[in-house]
Amino acid sequence: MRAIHVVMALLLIVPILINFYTPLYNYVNPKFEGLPFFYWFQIMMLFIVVIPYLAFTYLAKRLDEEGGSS
Amino acid sequence: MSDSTTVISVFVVLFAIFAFLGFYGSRWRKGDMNHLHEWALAGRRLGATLAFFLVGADLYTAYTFVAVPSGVFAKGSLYFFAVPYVAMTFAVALAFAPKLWKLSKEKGYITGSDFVRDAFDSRTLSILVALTGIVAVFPYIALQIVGMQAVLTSMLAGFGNTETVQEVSLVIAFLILAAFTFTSGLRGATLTAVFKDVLIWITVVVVIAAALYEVGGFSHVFSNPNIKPNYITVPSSLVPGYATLAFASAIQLYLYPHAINGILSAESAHKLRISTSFLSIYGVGLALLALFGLIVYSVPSAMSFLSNFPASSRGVLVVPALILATVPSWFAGVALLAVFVGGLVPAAIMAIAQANLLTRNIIKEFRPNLSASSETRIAKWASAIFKFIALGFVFTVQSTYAIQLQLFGGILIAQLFPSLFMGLYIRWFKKEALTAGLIVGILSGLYMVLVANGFGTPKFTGLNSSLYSTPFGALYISVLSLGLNLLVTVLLSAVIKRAPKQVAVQPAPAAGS
Repeated sequence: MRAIHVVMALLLIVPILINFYTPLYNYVNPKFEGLPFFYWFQIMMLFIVVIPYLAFTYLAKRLDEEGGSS
Repeated sequence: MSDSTTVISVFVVLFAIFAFLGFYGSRWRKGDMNHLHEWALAGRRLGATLAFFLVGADLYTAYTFVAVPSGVFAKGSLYFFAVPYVAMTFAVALAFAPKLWKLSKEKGYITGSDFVRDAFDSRTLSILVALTGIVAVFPYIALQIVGMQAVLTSMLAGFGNTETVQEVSLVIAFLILAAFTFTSGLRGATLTAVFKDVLIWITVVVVIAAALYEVGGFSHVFSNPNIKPNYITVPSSLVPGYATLAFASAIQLYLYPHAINGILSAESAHKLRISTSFLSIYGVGLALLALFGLIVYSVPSAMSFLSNFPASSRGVLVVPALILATVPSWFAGVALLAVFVGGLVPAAIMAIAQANLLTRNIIKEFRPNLSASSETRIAKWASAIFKFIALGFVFTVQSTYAIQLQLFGGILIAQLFPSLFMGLYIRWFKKEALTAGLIVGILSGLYMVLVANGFGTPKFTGLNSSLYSTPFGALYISVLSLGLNLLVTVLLSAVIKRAPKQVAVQPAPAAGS
């Protein structure tokens, strides 16, 4: 298990944990334009998760180019 | 409300263009359509953009347009679980899909069952995986039919009593679906998926803007007296259900045969990863549509339209009603067409995937000498016949709770997780263990569904719930039956490994690859 594998695993596991753990965002306030936190936080996450997913994609490509070890 | 003649005319004209695209699509980048991988995988030549649209099409279905808003409308924020589900599902996909793509490219798999058969050397397991895939898709197709029916019902509402209108709508929706799948194949469906997605994005943005303008912003939506606390956050008793519904759905999406088709039709593993990374943004539309289920309470003309229908079927009409109430008639025609083909295209893609599994992984096991052209012929006819079975599922649920159809299919498809996905990395699993686990998972899932819905008692009214009470709260049945499945798979794999005969025959099958 190389460091790059650990980083890649975390890039997928952390977004899953944040979205899975409902008590983290199950609040009314602060509101955004009248929309409760519960709703806007989860919508915002749809944009934010793209960042770790793209980072994963980039690292996976590097692994592919090194050849073989995927 | 809208002028129904205008709405229907725009709808019909656009539908004609759409049908032409589907038909033309079967000739686009033409391969030999008598070969199954041409009809069903578009020849494995879809780049990042088209693969994005094809998988996106699986995501943006009547589930998004009709079932989720309906659930939110009727039951509140519990059904917003679809949003964290979308945020999570692409992480699951990134972990497994590119690996499956590479193996498939190397070994020529075109279905998930192909992989299972080769990796675990088991015909029984491969056939069971194929059968599970086929059966799990039926309720999902049924959900699409409910969505198409809802659109037609909302357009024809003025032309007769509600019951007749709903029945006629169901028949028309079904006939269009059958004809469309038969003529187009995956190429046609992909091309129309692009058309559909463009219409859908326009529709979502315009309608939410128009609706919010009409009601004066979200602060008015949430101060409406009908918006109870359980519409604002998830009540604590439902939090375990919310989290497990989202998590299990995330695991399930890519196990469906049509999603695997989408994976395998990508042009390279890297392009597949790129399109997958961006797909969560697609979920924004889903989230906005889910909010329609709340906004509609503040639009009096939409509410009075809905009051013409019984509560059991009112929910699915939320989005069509909001469209008719807030945008000009001609645009309502465009928007309703988007919702209609939003059910039609995925249903066609799903039916194609089912037929693929049937011919390749079941019939060919028994008739190995089947010619390529009769294989394709059987696949096309099977996909037509399968739709009648899907139609049967329409009647197992009150349409307001149509989301239960997808959740039920999900309980079945989740049971493929150990063999299809974990099996990509863990070859230590034994075929007998995976087979036993799959059977235990499905039977326990069915049992819990029956108990949760009070089957055999007077309170049974069809599929209403997918949550099962446990000491940890009410959890989505899928995670419970998958837990049992994994337990059986791991325990049996450990036991079988110790049998001396196996060790002698298979020298050191190392874990991982």
